[in-house]
Amino acid sequence: MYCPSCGAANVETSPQCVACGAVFLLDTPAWLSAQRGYADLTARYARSEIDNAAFQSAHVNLAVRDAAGRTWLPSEDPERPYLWDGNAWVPQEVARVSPAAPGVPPAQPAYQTPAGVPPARAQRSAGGPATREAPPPPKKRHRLRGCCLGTLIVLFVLAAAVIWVSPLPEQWGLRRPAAEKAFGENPEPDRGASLELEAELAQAGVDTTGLYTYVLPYQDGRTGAALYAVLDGSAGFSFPDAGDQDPVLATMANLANSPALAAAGVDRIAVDYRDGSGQQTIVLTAPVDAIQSFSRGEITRDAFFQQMEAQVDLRSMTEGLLP
Amino acid sequence: MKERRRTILIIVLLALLALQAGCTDFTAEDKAFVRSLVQEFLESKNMSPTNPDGSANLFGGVRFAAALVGRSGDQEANALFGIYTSVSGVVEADKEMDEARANGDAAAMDQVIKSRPHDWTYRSSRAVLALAQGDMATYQAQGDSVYALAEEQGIPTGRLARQTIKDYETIAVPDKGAQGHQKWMDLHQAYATLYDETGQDMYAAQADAAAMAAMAALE
Repeated sequence: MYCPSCGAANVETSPQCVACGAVFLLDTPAWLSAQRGYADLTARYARSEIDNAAFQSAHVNLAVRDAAGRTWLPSEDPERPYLWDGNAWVPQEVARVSPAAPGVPPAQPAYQTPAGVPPARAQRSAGGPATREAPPPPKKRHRLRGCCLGTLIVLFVLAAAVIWVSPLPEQWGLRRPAAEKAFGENPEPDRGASLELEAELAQAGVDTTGLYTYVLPYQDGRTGAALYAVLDGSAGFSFPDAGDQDPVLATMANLANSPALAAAGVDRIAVDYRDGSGQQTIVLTAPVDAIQSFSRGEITRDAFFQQMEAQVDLRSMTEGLLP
Repeated sequence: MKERRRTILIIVLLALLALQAGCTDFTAEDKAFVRSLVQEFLESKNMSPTNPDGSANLFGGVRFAAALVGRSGDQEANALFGIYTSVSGVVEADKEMDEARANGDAAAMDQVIKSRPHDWTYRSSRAVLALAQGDMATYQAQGDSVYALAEEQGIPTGRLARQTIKDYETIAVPDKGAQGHQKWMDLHQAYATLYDETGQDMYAAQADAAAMAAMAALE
């Protein structure tokens, strides 16, 4: 038998390496079986199927005596089983030796239960480890607690991500608001462009009552502007009759096709619809070219929706639907 | 006599109720348009918290929640969803100015101008109201500040002209006398500016008509 630590040759029954002093423990069938029994035992204990006392009682029954007469008990660490030192079970670092290791001369099993005698009886008769106080059971691995912890971490990360993408960091001053980045701290609407737009709409016979338009030049280095149109039902706005067209989209198309907005470099439109009480219902926004393509029938309604974004007010959208 | 008064009162009340109901229905119809569009939009973009069979749609629910707080993957859209906070002051000021124009309320206009002193459109309206009320000093002062602000902000004269026309459409100024003369002269100048800018004949005709009215106002 060769020492797994230093490779020195040792006699088969040697309890430890003659060269480096490593304590040998042979992986005999009896020892491997005891280890499997221990794994099963700890699993049952972790599932609370057995209590502390039952664990200790069953644990001590797994004791195996080797050829050198030492008594071992499996532990959580296969490299540090318990060794009975005559007074107590003490963890002992071992060099495990496989009896059938390639290149290593096969070793005889260190311990064999006598024929016809159950291992436990053999162990008891061999020195009565069952009567000895067993080492404490391993700390229970609270799978549920571990699972809960994992879930909590995932939830925490998710919550942090949700908070980060929400407007809260902007309200807390942790991030510059997207509006401020695009249009500056105190956006000043281009009044003249709005006047041109309103004049065009009036010429086209569109009633502009309750329609407030704000052409907001970009302040982030881009050229051009965005249009923010407030359609205020409380100030008398109502959608024009658009025949078989959707009146909301027809209104967006009216705005997008305005030469005044093109002259002002408007490339995106947002419409903010407010109901009769002045309550914001929805803000719809889309690039001007998408609105124009849709109004010319070049893209489908569904394709247009994919380019549109919306901010929805829950209260007005569920009004009458909730108790 | 008493009976007749009661009948008139009932008729007036019924008329008011009908008017109110009519208005409510009008906005209710608009709201229905919007709701229907929103529903279709949410389904199209998989932003609905429920599937068509009624089962929960987690991913859609998350996207719907994002839509409630005005967040999307599109930063330009997010900028516009957040812009109302910045422009709400302007929107409110505009509404107050609209009311003041309609009511001829100079004090209310002055309040709005105080809140946004660099807005030349408000000063233009204030000048026209001053003219309507015969306050020529204010008309002159506000008119001067309109031009000063427009120059400072690089506003083309055509846009000043449009604001002038809009103001005279909403604020009633007498057609005759010195006020009427000034009104028609302002309109003449505004239409002439638009004609110069656009070359549209209708503006030339309107400028001519305003010049004639200005002459007639002094007769």
